[in-house]
Amino acid sequence: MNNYPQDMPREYSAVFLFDLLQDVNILRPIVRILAAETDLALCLLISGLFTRRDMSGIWRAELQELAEHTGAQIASFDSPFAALQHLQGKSGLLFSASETNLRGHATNHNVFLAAPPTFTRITIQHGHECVGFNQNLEQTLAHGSAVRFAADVVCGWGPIEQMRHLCPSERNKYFELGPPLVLNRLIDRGRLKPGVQTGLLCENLHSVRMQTTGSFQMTYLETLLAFTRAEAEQGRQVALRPHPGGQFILKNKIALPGNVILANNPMYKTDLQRFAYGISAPSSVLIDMVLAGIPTAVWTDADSIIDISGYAGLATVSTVEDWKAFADAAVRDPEPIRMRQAEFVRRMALDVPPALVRDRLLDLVQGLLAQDRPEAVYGAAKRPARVLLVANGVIPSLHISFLKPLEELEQAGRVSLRVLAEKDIVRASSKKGKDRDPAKGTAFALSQVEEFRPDIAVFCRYSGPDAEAMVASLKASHVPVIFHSDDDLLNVPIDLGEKKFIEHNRIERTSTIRFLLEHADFVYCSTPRLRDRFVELGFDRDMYAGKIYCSRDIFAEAEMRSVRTIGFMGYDNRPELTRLVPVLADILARYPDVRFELFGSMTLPQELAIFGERAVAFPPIGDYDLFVERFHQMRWDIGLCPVHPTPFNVVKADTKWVDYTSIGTAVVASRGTAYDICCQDGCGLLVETMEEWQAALESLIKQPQARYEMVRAAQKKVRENYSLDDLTLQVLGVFDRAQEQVRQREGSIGLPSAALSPRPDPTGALTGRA
Amino acid sequence: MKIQVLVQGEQWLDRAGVRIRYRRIAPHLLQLGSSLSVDVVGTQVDRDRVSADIAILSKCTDARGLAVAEVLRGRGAIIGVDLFDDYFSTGTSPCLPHREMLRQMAERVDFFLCSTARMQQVGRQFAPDMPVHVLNDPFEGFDKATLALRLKEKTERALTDRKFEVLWFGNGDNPVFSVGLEDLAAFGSSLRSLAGGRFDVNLRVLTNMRALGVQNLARLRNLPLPTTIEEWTEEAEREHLDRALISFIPVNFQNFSIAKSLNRGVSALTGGTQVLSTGYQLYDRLGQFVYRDPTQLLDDLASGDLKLRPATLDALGRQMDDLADPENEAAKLNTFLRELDVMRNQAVTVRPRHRASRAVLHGRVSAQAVDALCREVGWLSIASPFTLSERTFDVNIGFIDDSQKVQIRFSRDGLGFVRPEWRSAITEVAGSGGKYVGKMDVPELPGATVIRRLQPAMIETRAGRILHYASVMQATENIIGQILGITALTRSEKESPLMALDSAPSQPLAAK
Repeated sequence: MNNYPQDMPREYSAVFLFDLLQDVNILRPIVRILAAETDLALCLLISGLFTRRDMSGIWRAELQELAEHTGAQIASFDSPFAALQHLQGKSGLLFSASETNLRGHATNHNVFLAAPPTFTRITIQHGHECVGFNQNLEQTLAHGSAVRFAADVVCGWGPIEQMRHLCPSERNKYFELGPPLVLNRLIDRGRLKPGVQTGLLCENLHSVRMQTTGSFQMTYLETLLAFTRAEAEQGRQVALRPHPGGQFILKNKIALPGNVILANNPMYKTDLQRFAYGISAPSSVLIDMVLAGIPTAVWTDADSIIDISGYAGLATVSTVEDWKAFADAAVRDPEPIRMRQAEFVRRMALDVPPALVRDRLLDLVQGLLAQDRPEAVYGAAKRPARVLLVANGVIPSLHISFLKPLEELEQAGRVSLRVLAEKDIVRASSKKGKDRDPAKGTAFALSQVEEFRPDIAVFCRYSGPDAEAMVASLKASHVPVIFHSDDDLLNVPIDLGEKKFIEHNRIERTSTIRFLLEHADFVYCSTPRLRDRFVELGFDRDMYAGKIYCSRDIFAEAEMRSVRTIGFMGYDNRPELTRLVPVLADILARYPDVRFELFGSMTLPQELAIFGERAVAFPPIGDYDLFVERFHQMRWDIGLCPVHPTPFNVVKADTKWVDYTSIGTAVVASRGTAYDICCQDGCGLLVETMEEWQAALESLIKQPQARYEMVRAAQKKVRENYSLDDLTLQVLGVFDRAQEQVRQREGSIGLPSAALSPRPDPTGALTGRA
Repeated sequence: MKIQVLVQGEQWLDRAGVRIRYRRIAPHLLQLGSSLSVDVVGTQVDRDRVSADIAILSKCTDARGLAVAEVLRGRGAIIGVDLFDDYFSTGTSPCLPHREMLRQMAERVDFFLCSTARMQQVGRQFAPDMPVHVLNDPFEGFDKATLALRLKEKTERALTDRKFEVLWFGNGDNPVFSVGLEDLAAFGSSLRSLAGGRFDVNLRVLTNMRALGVQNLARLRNLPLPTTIEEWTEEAEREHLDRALISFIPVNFQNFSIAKSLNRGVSALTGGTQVLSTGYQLYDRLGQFVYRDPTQLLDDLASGDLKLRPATLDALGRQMDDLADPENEAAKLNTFLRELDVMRNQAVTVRPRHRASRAVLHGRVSAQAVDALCREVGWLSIASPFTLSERTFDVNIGFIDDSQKVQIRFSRDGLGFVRPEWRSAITEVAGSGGKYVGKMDVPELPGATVIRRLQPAMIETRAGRILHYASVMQATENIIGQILGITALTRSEKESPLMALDSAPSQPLAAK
């Protein structure tokens, strides 16, 4: 096609036609996935007939709700031209779940015929047995076997070989999507409630199949009613579900026994797992019930005339006695029935993983929009880039290095972040910490990877289980794997406390770190010294060291004032502060106006506690955001960074200096450590001996002006070199490099490169902070 | 001289055709001492005094036109019929009602007014000796200064923005012919070279809602340009002529299309667009202003030499004066009609002393407006055995309920027209709810056998009606002519081909 508007807006639309009530069931999951995964402008286009059919108004309300949740626009039409008016001037994709050249599908068929050529028209199979795709006998008798589509693409639920009624002229349009209803599982979770012993009986009495090869309506209805009465005698309730479009029982005001509860909610809002079993005449609802895992029986007439070949393999029932027997068996021992059903699902190729259906859908969308228009790829791929963050927990390092720098992009919908924490994997592998089954943990970890379908995976200090399996899965999907570390996690010293020492040095953890250092596509170190350390340790590969580790905005400006408070913030149990206690006691003794505040894990040393209110300790705060908030409230004049220049410490970053500077605090730090560079140019005092500590503190107390100048210089340095924007660009740069690495290794095939839209952007436009 | 144009109904009074053809020349006629008004056909016959010297029937396609022409002519007015769409020269069945109407009209009028020379030819096939005048569709004057400015702006904008709009406007469909949007779709490929890369081009289609069915929309889907479709309004046409660089006017080669006036081309040019026309060379008379080749148009745009540009507006003015200046057209029409008037005054006219008693005989399908006019002006309204309508007629010759034989029924008004010698044959009708008060069997008169033999089953089918229509209607006319005291009868029939079954075939139109 070469007739696209040259000045077409770069925004592409996905428009969904709703004419039959059951269209909602099929299209809704597709709308939701496209809302979550793409930047397409969504529109729900509702026919006048839909509104008239929806006498109760529930389906209109469903669409309203869908529009609210997905940001879709709602519009209506009552003629092909009226529909065209919503389409012209736009381009993209037009979806229908009821489009064939049959009279019953004329509304959408005509819209498809009239649609502007800037739209690619997609028809979705709307039932397990479906006209034009795979018909049952009754459908063929009623509609013939030459059903055709106006669509450009025809999406079916299974392999093309199973589509027995797809006309030869339509075969080239076929795309195997899979059943759209499984997409709901990617979105709706945690709705499952314990089952009750109620059966679900479904009716599709309006259907052509109940009237074509025989008059099955009365037979089915009578059997159903007899069964409900039998159940009533047993004091049991049953649920009855009329077909959403047919509503035969309601429209014909069939009197129902008192034990019948109506289950007329949309299927996607019906928790089928609540039911003990399900029975229906041949209809797609059987597939819903089978996929939900409840024992399911298909009704057939006593003479076996009605065509149930599409459900071959499922249990069949005919007479009331059959119904009762099936219901009893399903309640007593559902497992054998479920096993038969699992085989049926496999044979019918209905066991498509939801993530695969989603991937196919997104591939289709992206491919169609890119037809002859390479720029369209960006339109489709402007969905948020998905970044999977695997970490031992939501630790400060994760906040500092990824969550914070990507926060604004996430809020702008450019990046989608998901944290997979070690504890989640451990929890999935065992109940309450007992009888751990590692295979379950691995399956959980892999399912998370599969569901989220990341564009980038970052293992941040990760030393937990299943790293190898996850990396293998990610690499198989061409997803770049980044390992990030801000410590030499292979040599954690006992100075950090015995517990940490033991935990970090467990062989499983160090071997995971080694594995990631060796097998990640990209290694991102917090400091050049840490990178050198890893090289020294024998990791002979390219590694990247960030220029910035921690960034902060200036929270409290430098202020010319007398020194009132000396502060220390630290989360180690044995901070180097211990060594400084005599110096601090001396200062407090000599300067009665000066106080000392301790914020962190350490308890206040006794030597300082004697100063009463002049020396206080604030307990640690686990939640990182709350911690930062509380830290911002500190009004410290001098901040202490005492560090032993041990091999472990010297590769650490200058985080504490950045933190102190951000709240207007002057820094005194140990020489020969990460602080050497940041404290240059009058941005902090470097000291080594206790005398130097004492002198430094006193000089600042005595010279408020010098302290003020120092803070100002330090804050200038933070603004210029440690800004959040810079860190964001650094992180995005890392992502880019990792992608490039994979691209080079694998050639140009396979990598969803366009998916990761954020790129380093010196203008700041990307982060919205130009 | 008073000229009265008669149209079929109120809604016609504001139609574009009426506005363009008649209202634009009316002020100029006034300066020449003639007045022109446009009215709905019918009630003017109810006056004793003829209110106009000249009456022109414009698209009056039912029996009212025929009857009114007869009445007014009888009172000394000059009657003409305006032919501006060629539904006549094509010999297919959908055109039969039009052809038959024109044939009958030709017997009742004094002149044909035609929109084009081609229509003049068409008219001659029906009445070779009929005086004919060609009234070109007059254009609405244009303001040269404003148009010059607009043309300059459009060209500059197209060159600067590298984009422009092409407009197609007009009726998108026709009940008889494949025209309008079908032409656009058929000739649309010639727009391909406009979108060849030098410019971004959008096509805007303004047309009537009826034409925007799925078949036509599907046709437009294949156009080689991005297309925006809108419902036509006068305002939208003006707005988009103002905005578009080009009007695209493809013309197919059917008789209907080649007889069209230059109206759309004139509107497009005076509205400030270039005209690109493909297909039949209808617009050749607009000569230097019409593009046939899109590539040349693009070249001219690039070089600033578009055919319609500020420098050529004087030439356009002269061309319009020659073709369709309202003042010229008014003068030519006035001269033509005055000559007819003079001839009429020279002729000796015998005027009846009394108003003739007149009736309309309804066939199978008859316009309700015809019956309404009968009641309004006191003509008898008579149903034939074919008449479908359940209305109460003055006289109804037909089957009563399930009866297998034809009877004649009379309303109270109808009874008043029965000649005295037949009154005794009429018996009173009981229980018909006051609709008909008297009835009689078909009397022994010429034609009675035909009517008496008639059974409902004989005319139930179309084939049966075609077979019996001419003889039954002729017999009916004979009988009512004897029973009723009427002097003039007009048939009213809309079902094809019944309206033509009692008439001689017209001459086929020779190929051009």
